[in-house]
Amino acid sequence: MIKLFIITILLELSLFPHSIVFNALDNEDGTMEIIGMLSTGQNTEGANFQLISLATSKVIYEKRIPETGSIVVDIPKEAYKMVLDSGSGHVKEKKGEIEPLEGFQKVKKQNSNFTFYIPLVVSLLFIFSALVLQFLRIKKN
Amino acid sequence: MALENNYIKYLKVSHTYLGIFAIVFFYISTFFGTITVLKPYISTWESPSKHFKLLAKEDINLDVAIPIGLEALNNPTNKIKITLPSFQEKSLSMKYGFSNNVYINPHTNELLNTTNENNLLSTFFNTMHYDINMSQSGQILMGITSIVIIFLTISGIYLWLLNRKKRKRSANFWFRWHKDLSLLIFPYIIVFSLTGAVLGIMLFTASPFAYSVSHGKETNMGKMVRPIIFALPVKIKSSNQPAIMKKYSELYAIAQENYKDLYIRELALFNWKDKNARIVFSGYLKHNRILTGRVNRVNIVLNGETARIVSKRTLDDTHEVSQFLSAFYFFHFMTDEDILFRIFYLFLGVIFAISLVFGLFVWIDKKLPQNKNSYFTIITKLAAAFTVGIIPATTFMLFLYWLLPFDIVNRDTWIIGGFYTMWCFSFLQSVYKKDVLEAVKDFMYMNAIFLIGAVFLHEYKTDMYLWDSFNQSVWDLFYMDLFLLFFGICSYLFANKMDTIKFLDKFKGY
Repeated sequence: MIKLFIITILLELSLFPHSIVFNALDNEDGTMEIIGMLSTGQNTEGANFQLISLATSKVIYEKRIPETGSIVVDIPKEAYKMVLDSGSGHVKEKKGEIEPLEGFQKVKKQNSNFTFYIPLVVSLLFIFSALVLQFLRIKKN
Repeated sequence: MALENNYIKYLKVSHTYLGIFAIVFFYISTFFGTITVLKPYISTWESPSKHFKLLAKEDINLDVAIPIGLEALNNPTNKIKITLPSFQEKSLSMKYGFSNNVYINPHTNELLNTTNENNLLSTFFNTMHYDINMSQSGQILMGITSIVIIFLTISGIYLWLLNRKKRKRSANFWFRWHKDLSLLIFPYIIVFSLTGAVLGIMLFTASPFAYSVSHGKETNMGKMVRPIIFALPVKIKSSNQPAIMKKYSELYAIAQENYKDLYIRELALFNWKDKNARIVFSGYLKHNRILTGRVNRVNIVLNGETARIVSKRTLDDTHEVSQFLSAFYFFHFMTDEDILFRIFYLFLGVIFAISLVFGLFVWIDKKLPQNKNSYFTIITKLAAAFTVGIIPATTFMLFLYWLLPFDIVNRDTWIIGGFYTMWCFSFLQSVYKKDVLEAVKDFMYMNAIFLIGAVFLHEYKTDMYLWDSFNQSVWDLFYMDLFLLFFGICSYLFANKMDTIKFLDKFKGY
């Protein structure tokens, strides 16, 4: 029984994580091949693959991974990120590093990430003023 | 004797300082874990498309609903998973392979529009519970904290037994309550710290084991042991001969008839519309939910064309390691348990959170007299904001969730940012108010406003008022609104009566 318990605990350690891995291979003809699979080796049939523009956050390309586990797509002309969504919260994102033969075109950035910075700055301001207030109070006493 | 005394001294010091480290992370985990106990109900509450009554399984028209879902998934024929409505997910959900789910209202058999619904609140609470929103590193941190909690529990019990021997009873209020409450819920703490440790550290510790056992060929333990413990059924190849399938409802009835003890949760279709079509009905055993949890389901497989029973997986057919795992996880996840068990856990969670706070106060109480008017006072302010300030910050999220329009850009970031901002504000508030109790009073007032506001906005925006959910028997929604309203009113009354509660005098001077 003790043996079984020990074996179970050891085996147990990594039963559940089956993270998604996906790779993009440059075909050097203006296209790339996207291969999606789980860390357990299974393919990710049905998972939704998207190419999203970094500048505009718009979806440039979208397709479900077929039974073969890979798709061939045209390399976008602007900077992009790749997203593989395999349902129930398993989303993997990667910045697109493969460039088209003629390089990326520059697209004006439209969506600045100020939504993230406003709460961050306000939060830091609150913490800073709290600390200053308390320090001043201690010094006064 | 002197040596022994030294050991005990070291043990006490390590219990104290490791305790402070553990409280910081485990309090957040316990707080959000306790909320996560109500995850299925919060998930319904935040998804307007799922504001309908839970339909009994026998009333679901599978023959109409499933083809609609299949069409939405572009008519796949293999690896289709259908989850039947339950208290956790009241719609019929379907997916194939690794696609996203499509949801069908079982009352009207229409596809649900869930575009703007991503279960933000319940997912965020769950994330805070297991990795304090810090992804992998947070998960490892929580794993380490769980191990520290195991040490604290054992050392705490050892010290208690020693003191019992000496028949010493401490007069310190905080210490007495910290000790009594922790002892009362000892099994709960052990279960959660053990499961938490396993879940938290499994990722980064399993790879070396796998690497060593496989002589450097493999680093993923799951890949090696999955095929043994969770043996997959033999893959049936398509015969490429089209066939006419039996009705889903007929197949369902036959499966249930032949496996009476099986509570069917899921259906899976393989090689559909082919001569070799298989339909798998899986779920848990009605008389043994512990051993047939999410990781160890039993099932019955039928041929889709002839309804012939292909195989039947009973509890005896499952791997004993898998059974052990099922039981191990049962006490953490309570996957198939409904409200009664969950409320019980909710109470235990609240007691544990209080016990952790009292543990922190044992230390603060000891240190404060020597450190009056020193920088140490910042810690007491931080503690107030950290332990009580987190409540209005969380309810502020509920309020924002319904206040902000569903279609604004970066909605999630605004809501989650709102939570952190509110939490930081509570620190400023506790410093500004000089007396911690005054700050707590403000937190409770804010909490009441946010909760009542959230319930009102929810009802107004979904046009589903309390009386509507009551009349339409949408009980989960009705009780969720009522619970939040009740909690809000209690917060208000508590804040109002705070000056007259004698117990709270103990907090004066912090």
